[in-house]
Amino acid sequence: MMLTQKIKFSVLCLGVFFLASCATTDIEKKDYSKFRAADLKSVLIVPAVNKSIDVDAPDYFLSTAAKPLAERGYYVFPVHLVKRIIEDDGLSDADLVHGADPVILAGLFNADSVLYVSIERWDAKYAVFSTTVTVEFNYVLKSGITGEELWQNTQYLEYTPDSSGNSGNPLADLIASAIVAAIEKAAPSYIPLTQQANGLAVGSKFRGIPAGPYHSLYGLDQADFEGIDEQESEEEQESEEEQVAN
Amino acid sequence: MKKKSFLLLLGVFFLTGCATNNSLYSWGNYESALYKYYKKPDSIEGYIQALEKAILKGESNSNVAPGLYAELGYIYLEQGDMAKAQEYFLKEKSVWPESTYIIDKLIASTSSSTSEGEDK
Repeated sequence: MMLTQKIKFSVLCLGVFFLASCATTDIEKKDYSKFRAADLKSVLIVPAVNKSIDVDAPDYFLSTAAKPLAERGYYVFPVHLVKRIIEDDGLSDADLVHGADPVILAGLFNADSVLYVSIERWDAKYAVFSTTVTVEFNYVLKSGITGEELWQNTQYLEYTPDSSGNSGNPLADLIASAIVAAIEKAAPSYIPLTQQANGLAVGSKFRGIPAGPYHSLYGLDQADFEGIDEQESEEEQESEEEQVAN
Repeated sequence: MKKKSFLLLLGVFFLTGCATNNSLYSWGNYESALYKYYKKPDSIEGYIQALEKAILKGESNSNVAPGLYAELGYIYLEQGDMAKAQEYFLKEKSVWPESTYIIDKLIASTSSSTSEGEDK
């Protein structure tokens, strides 16, 4: 009696696990059909729109923007050159750039796609013994040919240096914490945090950007983004079951 | 909470550490040099040197990162060194055909300015 109850319970648990895992993959799953159909080779990253109060954030962000996308296998137009050319064309304000027709922007460079980034968070909360740095970015990739949205993602990251030392001397720990917090206050680590955010935004499975033509996985990563391999194996299992039933 | 976020960040560090080991390209100090240039616009020499170094390393590993030749060419264009600007623009175009359209436009602008210079 006890044993069957235990088995029942564990089966129930197992079922819940399966359901839960299905649910999360369903939520996480993006539609990559438009992205795949566009078969992009190049990306034009335009200056970021700034929703933070730090006026330097867009330039600092730009210095970290090209590498992760290029490392995904795309030609990324040189970000600083692009910024200057767009400014020379009279679009010195990032809000104007983001409001402009992506087809026209892409046409200036003959780019396949345009990446628009909005800086949602770029701030540091100071306290005596800890400082928390937060960044959040919204990324939208649009086709340079049709102007339609091909991909979008949001990335939030925060960082609090671990200053809770364990030297066994509470006073020394307190001083150490204050020093760590002061260092972070003097130079908040926006750049490493932004580099990580960009890397996660474009490199994460099921929500990032699939490999481009200069990457060895170009055209071979459907399992990592659409989860197609799993679907196929499920379909195979189902058809096998049907055959057995017949 | 703090411990958790720290551990998470540590994990991210490791992940990104792995990713950079498998880099497609030699970036050198391009990112930090551009950041410093934006922070202090008079530090352009450091930016130029970082680009040159990254390009040299990339050439020896035959993996120059996309855009670096053109970034350097554009700095030379802004400084009025049209010969060097053209040299780097042509390199960008030969390695990255995606840049052909914009590079041709930029080279056209350098040759018109050089002919103006010769007239004088």
